[in-house]
Amino acid sequence: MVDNNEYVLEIKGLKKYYKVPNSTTKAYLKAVDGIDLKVRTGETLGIVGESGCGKSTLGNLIVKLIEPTQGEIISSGINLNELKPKQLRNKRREMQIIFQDPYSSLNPRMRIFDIIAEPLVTHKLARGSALKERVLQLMEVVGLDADYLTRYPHEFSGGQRQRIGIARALALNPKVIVCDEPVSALDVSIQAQILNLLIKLQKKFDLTLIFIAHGIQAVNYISDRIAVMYLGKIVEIAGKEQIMNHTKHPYTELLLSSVPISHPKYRNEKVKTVINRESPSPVNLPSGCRFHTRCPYANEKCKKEDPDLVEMKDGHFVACHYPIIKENR
Amino acid sequence: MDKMENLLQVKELKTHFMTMNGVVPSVNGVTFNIKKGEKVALVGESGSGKSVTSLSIMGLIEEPGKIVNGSIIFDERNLVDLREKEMEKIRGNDIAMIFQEPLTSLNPLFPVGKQIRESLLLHQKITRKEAKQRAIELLKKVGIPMPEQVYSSYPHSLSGGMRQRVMIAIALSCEPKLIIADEPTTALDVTIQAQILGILNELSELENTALLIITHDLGVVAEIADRVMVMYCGQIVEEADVFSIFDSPLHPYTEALLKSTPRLNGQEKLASIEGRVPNPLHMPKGCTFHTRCPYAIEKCSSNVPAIQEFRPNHHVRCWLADEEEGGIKIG
Repeated sequence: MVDNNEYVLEIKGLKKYYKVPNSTTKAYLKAVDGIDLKVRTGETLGIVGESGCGKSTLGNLIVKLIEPTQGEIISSGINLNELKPKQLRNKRREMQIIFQDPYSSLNPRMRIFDIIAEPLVTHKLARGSALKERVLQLMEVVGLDADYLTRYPHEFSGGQRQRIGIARALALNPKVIVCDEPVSALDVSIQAQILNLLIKLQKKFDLTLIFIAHGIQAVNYISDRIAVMYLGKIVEIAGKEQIMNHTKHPYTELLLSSVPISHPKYRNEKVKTVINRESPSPVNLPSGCRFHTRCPYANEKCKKEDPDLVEMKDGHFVACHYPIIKENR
Repeated sequence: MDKMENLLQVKELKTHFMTMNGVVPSVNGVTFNIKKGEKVALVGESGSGKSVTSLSIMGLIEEPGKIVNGSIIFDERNLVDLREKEMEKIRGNDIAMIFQEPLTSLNPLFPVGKQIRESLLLHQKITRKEAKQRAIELLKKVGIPMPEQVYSSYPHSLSGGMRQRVMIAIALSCEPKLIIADEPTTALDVTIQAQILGILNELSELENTALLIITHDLGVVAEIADRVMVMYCGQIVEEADVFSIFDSPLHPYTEALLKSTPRLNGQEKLASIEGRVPNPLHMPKGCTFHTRCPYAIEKCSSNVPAIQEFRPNHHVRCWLADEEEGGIKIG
C-alpha cells in the first residue's frame, strides 16, 4: 500500500538486447543490461551517461515504445507486462515522452492545433469547442501564443518546437514524463528557458520527471536524484548532493572531472582525470566490472567479478568493488 | 609593435547571402585580429554568423553567399582578393580547419592514414615513404594508440573521438600558423571532449599555432581561450581577454549567456534570455539585441551602437556602456 504511493514506477531486472545483424556468431548489443530502479512520486530523476550507455533505450522502455527482452515495469502497482492491449492503452495516458530533436518529432504536415490535439482525439477525451479550449489552455501553459494555433512546425524555432512537444505530452494529464535529451539540440539561452519551464510545470501538475541527458550540468540543475549509467547498467544512484559532493563510483568521478570549467580561474586547479581510453562497444562488453578497462583504480578482482549495485548509505547505491571514500582522495 | 605580431586581421567583413526572400547579412561588419600563437574564441548562438565568419576566412563561401565588403589580411596578403588557386595553397598549408562532425569531413572510401598522407604530399615536397612515416608520427602526437594500425583503418571503424583526433592530425600535418576549429567537440561525449580540448591546447602551445575556436559553449571558452569575442546577429558585440569576459562582462548579451549556462557548483535559478534570435531577414532597428535586452532604453531601438574600447583592450557594442562609470548599470 505504502509502496504504491511512494513509487510511481518500479523497474525490475530490465533488459533490452538487440541482435547484431550479419554476425556469424550470436552477438547481441546489450543496450540495457539489467536495471533495477524505483522512481519516487513527484521527483525528478536524472539519468546521465555517455552515448551508447542505453539511457535513451531505457526511456523508450519505460513508456513502452519498445518491448523489453526481459524484466518488469511496475507502474502504480500494475505490471505493464500483464496488461492487455486495451488496458495498456489507458495506462499509457499516465506516461508521456518528450524527444531530443524537436525537428523530427513533430509531423511537418500537421498544424500546431492538430499536433497538440492528437492525443486527446486518439483517447477520445475531447472534441469540438472543448478540444480547442483545452489546446489553447495547454499552449498558454507552455508559453505559446494563441495566434500560432494554425501554423506548421517549420515556422517555429527549436525552443518553440520543444514547447509544442511539451504541450502535447501534457495533454493527457500524465503522471510521468520521460524527457529524453530535451535541451541538447537547443541554444544555451533557450536551454535555460525549457529547463525552467519543465521545473515550473512539474510543480504545477505534480509531475514525476525522468530527465535523460548526457550533460551532467543540466541534469544537476533539474534533478532531485541522479542515476549514472555506463554500458547498459546503473553504476551509481543517489541524491544530487551525494552524487556531486560524495562521488563513489570512479566513472561518476570521470564524468564530473570532464565537465568544462565554469571560469578560467580554475584552469590550474582542476584535477584532470585523463583517461585516454574510450568506452568499449556494448556488443563486446568487458569481463567483470564493465568499467575496469578505463578505471584508474581497477585490479584483478574488477576484471573477473561484476559488482552488484549495493546501498552504501541511505539511498546511495553504487556498483563498484572499491568505491571512492573521500578521505582517500 | 602590436601590429607586427598580428597574424590575421579581419576588417569590416561583410558576408551576405542573397536568398530568394532577400539579403541575409550573416556577417555584418566584423573586425578583429589574431596574434601569432594566440588562442581566440568566437562565441555565439546558432545563426550568430560565427561559422560564416570562419568560412569567409577560409575562402569557402559559396553561392548564394558572397563577401561584399572588408578585408582579411593574413601574413600581409588580403585573402579576399586571392584567386582560388592561390587560396588552395593557403588552405591546409597556412590555415587549417577542423569541423564539428569528423565523419562528414573525412572521405569514407579511403583509410585515414592515406588521407593524412595525401595532405602532406599535396603541400610538402617529400616522398611517399616519408609522408607515411610523418603521418604515423602525427597520429601518435594526437594521442592515438597503435597509430600503425589506425593508419590503415577506415573512418567508419573509428569512434567519434578518434576521428576528431585524425582531423586534428590532418590539420597539423603542414604545421599551419592558424587552426580554425568550428565546434570541434560539440558532437563528442564529455569525457572525449575533455581529451580533445586538452590535445588542442597542448599542441597549440607546443607548436605556437594560433587557434580560432568557434563555439557556443562557455565551458569550452573557459578551458582554452586567451581572448574571447562574442557574436550576435552577425556582429561582434563584446571582445576582451577571457578573465574580463567571465568576471566583468559589459554587454547584456554576454552577461545573459553566462547566467544561463548551467554549472555544477549549482546556481539557484538559471536566468534565461527571453525571446529568440531575430529573423535575419527582418533585423530589428537600432541595437540588434534590444528586443531581448532587459536594460534596453529608448535609444537602443532607434540607433545602432558602435563598438568602442570601454576599458583598455575591452571592447563593447552597447549604448549603456558609456552611460555609467564602471560598466552597464545592472539592476
